[in-house]
Amino acid sequence: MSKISRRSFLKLVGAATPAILFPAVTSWAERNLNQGDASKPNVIVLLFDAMSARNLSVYGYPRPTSTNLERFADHATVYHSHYSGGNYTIPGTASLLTGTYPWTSRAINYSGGVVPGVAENNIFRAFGEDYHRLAFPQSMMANFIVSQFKADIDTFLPAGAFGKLDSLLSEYFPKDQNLALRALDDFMFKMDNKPASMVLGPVQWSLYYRDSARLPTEGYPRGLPHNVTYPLYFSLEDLFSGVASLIPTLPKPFFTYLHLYPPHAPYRASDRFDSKFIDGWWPEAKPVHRLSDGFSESKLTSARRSYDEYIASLDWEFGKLLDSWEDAGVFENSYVIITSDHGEIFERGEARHTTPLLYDPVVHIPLLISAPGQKTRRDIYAPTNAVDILPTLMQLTGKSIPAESEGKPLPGFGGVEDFERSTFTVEAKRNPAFAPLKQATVAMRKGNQKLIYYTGYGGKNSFEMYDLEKDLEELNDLYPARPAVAKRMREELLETLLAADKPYTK
Amino acid sequence: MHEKVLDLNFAQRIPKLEQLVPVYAVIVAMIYPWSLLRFFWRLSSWLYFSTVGEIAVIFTYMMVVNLIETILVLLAPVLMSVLLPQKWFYDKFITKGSLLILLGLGYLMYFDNHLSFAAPFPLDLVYWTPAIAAAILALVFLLGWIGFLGKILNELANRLTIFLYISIPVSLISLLVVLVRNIF
Repeated sequence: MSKISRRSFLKLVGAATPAILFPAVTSWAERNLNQGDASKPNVIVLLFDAMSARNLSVYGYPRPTSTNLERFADHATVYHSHYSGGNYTIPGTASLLTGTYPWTSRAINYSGGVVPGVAENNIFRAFGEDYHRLAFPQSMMANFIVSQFKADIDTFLPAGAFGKLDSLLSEYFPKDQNLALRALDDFMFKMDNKPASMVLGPVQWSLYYRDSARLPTEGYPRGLPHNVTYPLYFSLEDLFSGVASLIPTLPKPFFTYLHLYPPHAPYRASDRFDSKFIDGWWPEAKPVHRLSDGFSESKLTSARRSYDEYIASLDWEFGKLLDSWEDAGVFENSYVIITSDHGEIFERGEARHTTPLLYDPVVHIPLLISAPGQKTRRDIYAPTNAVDILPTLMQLTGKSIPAESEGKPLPGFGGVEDFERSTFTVEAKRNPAFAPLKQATVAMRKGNQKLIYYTGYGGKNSFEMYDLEKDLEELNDLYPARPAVAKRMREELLETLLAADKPYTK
Repeated sequence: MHEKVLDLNFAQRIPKLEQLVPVYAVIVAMIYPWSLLRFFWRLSSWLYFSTVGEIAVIFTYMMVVNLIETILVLLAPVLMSVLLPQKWFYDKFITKGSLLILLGLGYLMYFDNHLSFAAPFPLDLVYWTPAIAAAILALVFLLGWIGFLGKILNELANRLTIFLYISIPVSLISLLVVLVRNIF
């Protein structure tokens, strides 16, 4: 480990002090009055956290989980091979909002963030001040990323907006929300284990327990939906009606990033859909993966059913939102983008998305885009990635695409269907952000082929390769059987990884 | 002289600075390390993805929360000193105050150790709290009369004041940083 000299230390302290003291000074200097041009199209990104494309009937899932999404798809462009940048919220959200892969943004760890050089090119800044920029990160992990860009956001709705109960403290520190979030809600008052605040921690915990016990739970047989480790309760009805009524009130043109927490666990289906999918349907059994948590098939099946019922519940509310927006004419002058930050997996002994695995259920996410006035459906099959959203929106709104963006405009919106293009998904939550990726999983999609690379998990580094056109369930590993294709893809993946690691390699 | 002391009114029963400081030192010695331990436990994770500046800011928030907590906790023995007859508490403020803090915060540590999102809220402990508080008060008054224990507690409390030379300035600087970050 290199030693730091006294002189270097003093320099570091000197440089760090203004940044520690004055986080909002730069935003002061940059902020001007909004002067919107209402003829420009509005942009609504509606993101459902942890929504796997593989569990949506709009993508061919046998259970009718997304009938209203299907209705939306009738006048939208549907992307059939869209991938997230990572397999959980931090990298998934960062990829969408910065147009860069996690190995570039370095948003790879739990509660992690985007490195400053990349953060400067966030989607809110790219939209510029002629757009009213609104963010609603209902997911706390998304909050870690979005609050980094707060200086570029005109309206920042707290995670508890449209909720039933919100005990987050960082919302009282709007000028320093990102670090207040990290210091208070994610550390001193984090409600996952014994609090770091010895006296006020249990007080907050007790009040939260008292208040949450008083919440009405009608309509939710398994209890109200809530955030998994942060003190936030909500109902799907309130959430969707809040979002529905919010949009028509915004100054035009606007860009909104609405990161909704459902269908993220815990899965709390409404009574209309609870137990709806006790239908005897079982997915194809798959071998347990060596890196999985080893959940039994019965547990996975039960979890999958709850997840499907929760998706159907939110889809029901989404239907009401669609009606409301149709009545308000929102679709006439708005791009509406439905997507997710990552998927969810219930196979190979693995449940949910806290996993080193990158099989399709956890990284294949929905992407449906309705253009202003679009009346017919269009389907795109070429592989696309979350990093493509930013450049696409820049192109659609006549703005320049940041040079650092690693995405391309989407086919159908200025881009072309490119089956030979390589896209990546990166999982490295246990790897230090500012070091080369030594423990990671990387998936590369190129045409119909998907290569998965595992490194740093003990034993030898390994690869798997699948042909997703013929083997959608990723059961037949072609890596040994097609050495020429495997070699070409392996070399490309490793070269790209090496280049991404270069700034962090001594 | 004895009669005069007995006549102390409410305001006069507010402990003097030389009485408050040792008791406050006991509070600081319990509350700050509790948070610091967790800070260092999380540090390795923060170092994965945070800059030195960001970690420093988290530290300042922690110090401010601790400062508020210690002041709030100090109010408990002060309030008892003011409300109770002078002989019951004021006359042995350092001994009984320190004992109250040690036992009270000790119980809070025990309570905190039972808090987990994965487990049900420890309602049984909440129900027992009034009884435990009564027991702590009884112990404070009983043990407070034991001479050698009082001596040990006074010595301990006085020795712990050394930590105030670090905690108070660092907390005040932290408070300034947090205020500046949230005002500008």
